[in-house]
Amino acid sequence: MSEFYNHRLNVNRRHFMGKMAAGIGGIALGSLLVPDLFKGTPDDLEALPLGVAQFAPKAKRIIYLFQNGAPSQLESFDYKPLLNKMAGQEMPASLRLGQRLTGMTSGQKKFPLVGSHFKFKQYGESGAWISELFPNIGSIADDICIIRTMNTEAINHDPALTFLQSGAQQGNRPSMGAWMSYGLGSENKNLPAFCVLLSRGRGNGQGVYSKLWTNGFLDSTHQGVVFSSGEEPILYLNDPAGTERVARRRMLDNLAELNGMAYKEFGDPEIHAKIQQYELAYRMQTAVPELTDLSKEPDQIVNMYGPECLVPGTYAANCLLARKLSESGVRFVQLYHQGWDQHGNMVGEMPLQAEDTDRASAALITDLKQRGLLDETLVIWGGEFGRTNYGQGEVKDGNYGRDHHPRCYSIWMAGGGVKPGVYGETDEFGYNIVRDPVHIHDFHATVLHLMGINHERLTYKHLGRRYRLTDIAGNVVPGLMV
Amino acid sequence: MKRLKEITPTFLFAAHILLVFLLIFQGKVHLPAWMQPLGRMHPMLLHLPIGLLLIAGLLWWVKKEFDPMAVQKILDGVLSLTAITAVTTALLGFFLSREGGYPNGLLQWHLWSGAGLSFLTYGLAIYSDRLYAQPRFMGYAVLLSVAVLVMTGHFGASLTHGEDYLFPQVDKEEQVVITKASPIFVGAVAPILRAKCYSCHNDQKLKGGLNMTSIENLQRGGKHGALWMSGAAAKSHLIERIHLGMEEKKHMPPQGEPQLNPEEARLIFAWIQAGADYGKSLAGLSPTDSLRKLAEPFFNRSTKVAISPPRVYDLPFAAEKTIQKLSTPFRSVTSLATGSPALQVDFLVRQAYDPKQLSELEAISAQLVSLDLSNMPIKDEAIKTLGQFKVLEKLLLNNTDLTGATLGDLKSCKQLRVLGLSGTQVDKRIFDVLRQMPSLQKVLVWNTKITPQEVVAFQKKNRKPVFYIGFIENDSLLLQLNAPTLVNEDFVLTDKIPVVFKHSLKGTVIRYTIDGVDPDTTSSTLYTKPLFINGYTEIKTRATKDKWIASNVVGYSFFKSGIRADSAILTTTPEPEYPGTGAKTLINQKKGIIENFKDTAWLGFRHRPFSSMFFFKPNMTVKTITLSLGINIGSYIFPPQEVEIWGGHGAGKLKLIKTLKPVQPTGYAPNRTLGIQVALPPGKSYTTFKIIARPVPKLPAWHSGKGDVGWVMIDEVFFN
Repeated sequence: MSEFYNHRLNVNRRHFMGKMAAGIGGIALGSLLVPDLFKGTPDDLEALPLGVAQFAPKAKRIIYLFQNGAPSQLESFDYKPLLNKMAGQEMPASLRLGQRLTGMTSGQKKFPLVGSHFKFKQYGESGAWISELFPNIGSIADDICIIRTMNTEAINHDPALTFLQSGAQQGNRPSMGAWMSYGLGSENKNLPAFCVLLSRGRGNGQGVYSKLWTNGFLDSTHQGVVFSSGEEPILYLNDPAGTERVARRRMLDNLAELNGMAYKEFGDPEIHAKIQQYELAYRMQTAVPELTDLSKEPDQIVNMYGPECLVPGTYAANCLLARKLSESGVRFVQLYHQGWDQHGNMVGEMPLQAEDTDRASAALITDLKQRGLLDETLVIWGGEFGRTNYGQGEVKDGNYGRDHHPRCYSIWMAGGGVKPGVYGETDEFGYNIVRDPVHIHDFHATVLHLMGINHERLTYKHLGRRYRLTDIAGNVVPGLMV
Repeated sequence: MKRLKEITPTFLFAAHILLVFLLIFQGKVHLPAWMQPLGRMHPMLLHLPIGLLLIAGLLWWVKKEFDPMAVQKILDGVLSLTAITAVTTALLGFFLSREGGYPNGLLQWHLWSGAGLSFLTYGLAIYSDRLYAQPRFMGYAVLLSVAVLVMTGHFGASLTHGEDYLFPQVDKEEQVVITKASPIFVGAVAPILRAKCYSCHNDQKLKGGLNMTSIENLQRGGKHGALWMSGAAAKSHLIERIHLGMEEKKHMPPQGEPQLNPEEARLIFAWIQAGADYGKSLAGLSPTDSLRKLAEPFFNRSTKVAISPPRVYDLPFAAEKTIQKLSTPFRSVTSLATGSPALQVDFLVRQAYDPKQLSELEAISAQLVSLDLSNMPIKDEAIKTLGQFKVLEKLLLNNTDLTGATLGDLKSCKQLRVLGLSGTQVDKRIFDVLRQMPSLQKVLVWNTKITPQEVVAFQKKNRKPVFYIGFIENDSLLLQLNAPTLVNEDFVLTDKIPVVFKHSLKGTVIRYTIDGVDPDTTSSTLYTKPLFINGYTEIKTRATKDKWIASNVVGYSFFKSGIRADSAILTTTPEPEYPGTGAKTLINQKKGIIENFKDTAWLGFRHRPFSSMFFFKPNMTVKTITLSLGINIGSYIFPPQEVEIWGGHGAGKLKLIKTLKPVQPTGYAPNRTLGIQVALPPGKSYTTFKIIARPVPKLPAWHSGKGDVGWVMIDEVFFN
């Protein structure tokens, strides 16, 4: 019998071809039922419409008051009286559990606990404990949500800043503002969707670099536009003397035509971006003068924001400008205020930094509120990580410093869909999180959610894979939202 | 028949390839409408392979009763028919599944087991003669096929009749949705019991005679009696057991089992203390109630992502073309969210506003829910147009030219909830008008003629709408002025460049001194016009104004750029960290920034004194020499201990002209620029100078680096 089987297994060419034809026929028949087979866009990652929220947003715009250098949570929003009681004693080793240290304190033999030099008071209905250095922020305690359990992975300024701004420590990804610009577009076509304002405090400072507002791999129209800190926030915006508006328009039209030809030839998307940037600059010529004109502001604003709001380049002036930009539909206004890096002289520098930011930050919230804009604007105040509960070096003459601490720190948010109150809890040493941690990725996911974007669906394909602001992590934190 | 036998293997092969293909790409298959009836034939056809396979099995079982050749022939045919009908059924089943409406998990089981069955029967059919030779294999293969058949059939039946059809589940646990209105027992207490207690105290396992899985059972208690005394937590059995030491045998949950964490223990305590009420809901407690505070985190955990569903607007969609036409750079028209008919409109750039832009919006009046006209020159007449936007919910008219006289026209906006009138001319007359708008929740009236007292009076009588007055200027609040601003940011001045100060706040007075003393607020010189300097000058200023605290004092050092040296050489080398750009650093008229000594404008000396020679063309008369130095006491950068000025003609013939010892600081002070100006004896002229500045050899005792050598940082030397 076996010869029969062998014979049947001896497939000859005709038989093979015939069989294959049948098989291919089967596939062909099936492929009729799968029209999108060779199109290459799987359903689940289908590109989303850009320029409009994916679902009804709680907030339309963001003002991010970035406190650069890492303000100490223990002298601002995370009240730890135990540290005062145990001041000078060694930090319990059980707290540290493998936390790495910076080069600045890794050689330190002792880690003596230090309590806050500044007193704390309870504010608002939530009874939030806020340091005496921030009385104005205290007065708006019922409008803000203090998150005491932010945590990050980075331990030095640059990676931490980059992580917070772009979702990765390495600095090749688009910044939050660029993602917003990409995902939601600009409300006001006459202004950039992403503006950056810089100011310098009086404390020990850390640099800010343009990579913090980079468009990364996104189109360069999404890059943050840095405003100058001088009298003219946007340089060279005025036409040169003697140039007529009509002539300028004609020039731009012809230039666009030339650029269009170049685009056709080379196909470089940057050429296209350039054309759009020229057009934006042209429209900005009409929109910006209204922004920088303070004559329409009532005299009260000086009382609200403090007199420095009239001095360009100060934090107060930037807060006021941020309100005007946001009011004019700028999607993402990013402020950086430097000087929060108190490795030493906490007692001397913290009050100066607080003085520069307290009144103006609170005024911004009130100002948005009285214009009916707070419920559609998300305001975020905070730094890149926290500071240690032990001193850097010794406590001398009552003065001390604190090193970097990534495990927990405090920020606050207000407006657009944020649930006021206090969120999360750290242990009584202020070293570890006890309840409700908010990781940077979770923070990003939540901010995007408030803006009406599913963080898993805002993607951009680059180098063969899709990227997100939260990359492959992040969970929306419902407890932060109304 | 023969023909059928020939075609069968080819058909089976092609059909199975098709089946595999469809299964791989099942997510993408789009079924044309005409194929749907085919799918519906699946329930009819499926009985054929079932019957045929069972016949084959039966035949195999009773084969010994018949002629073996006949049986084999018949079995061959039956198996072929089974395979053909099985694969056809599977394909049709696949088509049917695309209609949707089936629970996915079960569907996948049915799909894959059905496909598996089809392949099994395929194998049986084509290898039947070979298997026939090995009866044991054949038996197993048939048995396996029948088993898969039963599975497939069961899944299929569950699909059509429901999962509970065969084995109805009587006490299936309900999926409870937890909201704030849920009882605390359901939302917080029961989940703890379920996680930590049920495993030993349930219907099957009644340790200590206790079952905790239902309220009745909890009330019944265990063999030691009641679990708790309502309202007296401290005396309750359960609490006692929880709080016994870990080493105690009676501690619950027992050692080695997951323990209650402190929050859970506290919550159960508080719940019993509050009466162990099974019905009491979270929402029923006051926000400050301690039980509520303890229970809330558990509720948040149970509610998971309790994201409120987005508001759905039941409005007709506007034409895409209309929206595009209305959307301009000065009037943004956007949809509230993807797929939402509701529209929002923002007007931008005041100077581009035209009343026509507003009336054009009538085209989308049925969709317009949010309109922002803030900062636009809107007059009272415009309200009439706004009244036609019937679904408007939010209307911002801040900083417009309204007086409020025509606000009554907004009464037709029945949905209006928020109205922004901040910064307009409206006054208390609007109270009466707006009170009659029932849906209106909030009116913003900051910076209008309406006073806080008027708002309080209105709110006393009317709860809605809430008038929000915003920031109230407080006359008794004393704020400190900011310091005067220096307009020119250049500190090296010529005869033609003055020092200009200004203050951004109107009515502020600036006072200044040039003698190094802090200016006071009444008698120091008033700054009225730009100042010209004669030589190195330290100007201290401060701003004052009525009802304001005077500003801090700020000081600036100005250098006068006079005669430029022809060339310069360094006769000692600076420290390697601060090399500047060599000797020319000193005569390039460029000052360094005090915050950044790493800048190449600075030269740093420590272990060697600073020493440099400067050469001039003849017939230049230098009257003063000014050294520009940086001071940063914390970083050991002090004024030099001693400065020597040597003069003459040519490098080899210099004489010491002057020696001076600068004043040393007596404590820490802010970083600053220091100028040391030396007047040369009159009547003499030199073409060569040598300047030596010696760092402080020992820092004073009060300094943290006492005894160490100080630094000298120098960026420029000016000759006048």
